[in-house]
Amino acid sequence: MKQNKGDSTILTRSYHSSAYSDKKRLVELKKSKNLTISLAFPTLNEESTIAKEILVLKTELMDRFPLLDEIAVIDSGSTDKTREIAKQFGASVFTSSEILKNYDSHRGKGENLWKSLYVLKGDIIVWIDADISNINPKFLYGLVGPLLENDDVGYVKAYYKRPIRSSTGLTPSGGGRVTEILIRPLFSLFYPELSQLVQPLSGEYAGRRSILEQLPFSVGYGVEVGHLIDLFHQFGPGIIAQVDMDERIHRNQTIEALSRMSYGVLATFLSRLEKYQEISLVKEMGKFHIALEADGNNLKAVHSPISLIERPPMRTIPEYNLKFPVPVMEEDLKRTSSPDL
Amino acid sequence: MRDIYLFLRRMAGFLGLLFGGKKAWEARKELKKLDTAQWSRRIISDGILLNEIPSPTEDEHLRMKFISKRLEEFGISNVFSDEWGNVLALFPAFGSRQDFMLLVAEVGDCDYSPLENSVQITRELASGQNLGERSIGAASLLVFAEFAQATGFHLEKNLMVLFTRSSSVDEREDAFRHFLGSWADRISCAILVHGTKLGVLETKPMGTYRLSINVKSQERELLSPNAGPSAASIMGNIASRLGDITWDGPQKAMVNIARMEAGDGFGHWATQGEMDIEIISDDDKTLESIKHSVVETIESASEGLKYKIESLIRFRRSVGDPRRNAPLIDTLRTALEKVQIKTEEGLVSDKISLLNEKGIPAVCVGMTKATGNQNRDEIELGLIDSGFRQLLLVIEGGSRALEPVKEGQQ
Repeated sequence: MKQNKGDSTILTRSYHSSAYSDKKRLVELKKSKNLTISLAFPTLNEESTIAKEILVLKTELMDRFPLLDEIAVIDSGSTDKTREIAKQFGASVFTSSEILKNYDSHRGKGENLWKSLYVLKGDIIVWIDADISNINPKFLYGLVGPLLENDDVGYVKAYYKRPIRSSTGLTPSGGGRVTEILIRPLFSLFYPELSQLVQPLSGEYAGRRSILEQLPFSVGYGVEVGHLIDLFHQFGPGIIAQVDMDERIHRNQTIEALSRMSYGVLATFLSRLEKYQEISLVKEMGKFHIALEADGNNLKAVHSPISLIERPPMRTIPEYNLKFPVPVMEEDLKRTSSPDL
Repeated sequence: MRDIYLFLRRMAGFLGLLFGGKKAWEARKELKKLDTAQWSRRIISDGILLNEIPSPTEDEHLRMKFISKRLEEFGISNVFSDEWGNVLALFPAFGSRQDFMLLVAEVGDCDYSPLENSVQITRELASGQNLGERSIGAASLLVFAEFAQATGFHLEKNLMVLFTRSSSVDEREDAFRHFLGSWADRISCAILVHGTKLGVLETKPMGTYRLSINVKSQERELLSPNAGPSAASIMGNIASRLGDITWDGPQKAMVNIARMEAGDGFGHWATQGEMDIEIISDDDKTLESIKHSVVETIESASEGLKYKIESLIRFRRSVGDPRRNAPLIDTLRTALEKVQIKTEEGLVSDKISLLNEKGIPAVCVGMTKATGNQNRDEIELGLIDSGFRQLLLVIEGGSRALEPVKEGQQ
């Protein structure tokens, strides 16, 4: 059931991070609402950027202004020094495959995010990609600000200008290519309300545990788009806000990588449409992303398996329920509610 | 505005004496045992954030805004800024002392680019264009202000914490000169906080003149049969003449061609050119005499030609006064011994020379060391802890080392 709280236009809940730069006020808000906040970085070989991200955010938002209660790295098995460096700079480090071992392990960012819900302690969870070159505290306080200020907001996404970092320097425009070519047209066709998100695929977002634990997680590239469609259906677009972080400098991705990403995102999108009975697929979707590569004078097809696995809502995992019992009021509400609620 | 400063200082000093005296005294006693690790992390973090703010901007307002906001966040109420972009915070002393110890750091970076200034950190090192040279010094002073506010680190001497534009963005040091114009008579000693230069004792005097030369002919074209030499030839001739001269007996003085621009195209004529000349000496009289000789040599280069050659003094830095700085240098040497950092002799910094010109003893305190990678301005993170400890020791020691400047001493 949609709980269309407040205005359903995401653009009216679009803020600038500077609106939340008074960190003392945010700390007071957090205390008064008796909330805790956790930050997790999903990582795979991020030794060149992870130290700076942890150092800046920990120093500013744990030591100076105690807005954050916890910083963790959820690692997919890095072969570089990501884990050692993260530990040295003060983050708790978890290896994804070691979390909830009874539930297998899959490789992908979505897997790390899903598992982070189990190991993190906070009422508000923030996820930030570990490859940001120009990390700034605003990435964090900008995301948690709307959640602390407005109880109706449950999920906040970052957006920004995205100059991309390449061997020739910074390209001022670019980035967000998958969004503009694939996601925005799809949202325009099926979910016009969600097309008001500037960067629906951005890797920096925050949400309330009480909401995130009710969402399934795509293990791979589709995790963000899956969240947005599930939030739309389960809670209504009124729960989503977005915050302008000015600029984010990150690595450039090749067209081949973006093509694989698009495959994962599109597969999640189509499976969600089917789940919510908005389209009916009459044919099973392909299991591989197929790229063409030059092989001498010929071309060859390269099949890459892209994980389309979905993790169920964390609330359905018994170990999670033991660790984070459903609050009594919530239990009562469930018993008295009709089954379709 | 200075009267308002002083009134506020006295008020705050009085209140500090009433409520904070015991705490401050204990903080000083605990200095040797202090855990400085958390403050070192803050220095690195603020250094990163400062280094990634665009610069230069008008009056360096973007970086100064960051600094002012930080000081406000630390709860420091005596913060002022002026029309030159200087940001000043005052920490009143206990008792009735009227003189100030100045702590100053430079802000601003003429080479900023978002990519090059983006800082990278490994386990032991941080690198980013101008990180050590421009940003870690200002971040260290900022964190010192935070430390002083949080721990009640007040001394018998009033403290004045100043963030002023670096010579890289304010070549003539107008902002700093303006500040000194208002405050010099109240400052009894000064410490310049620098990002690198840990262990360097600035005992070697060095003065500089920078001249700009403009070469121009009334005729723009060189194609006519009777046309004279090009501007490039004339400037080459000047450079050659200057290069042939031995300027002083011990051959310590130097004349460098810092920049030369001439040639046809891109909106320029072959009969126009510009060059910058730098004169360096460890003696003020020698510096003056070389300057006169250089100007004469330049003027004589146009004799018999249809060229007009103009020379302009861009700036002058006096050689500094290491003798005046000796007590502070000794304090620094002792502090470096305590934190087990080896010392080396270095040249006097520009701002130290300016302070010395005003009769103010001054010393430059470095926070860490740069490694060999000059292109990325790579610094050692582990040393910042020693750097900060040393800074606290020098401030504490310096506040006892010197008496205020008296009339006629300058």
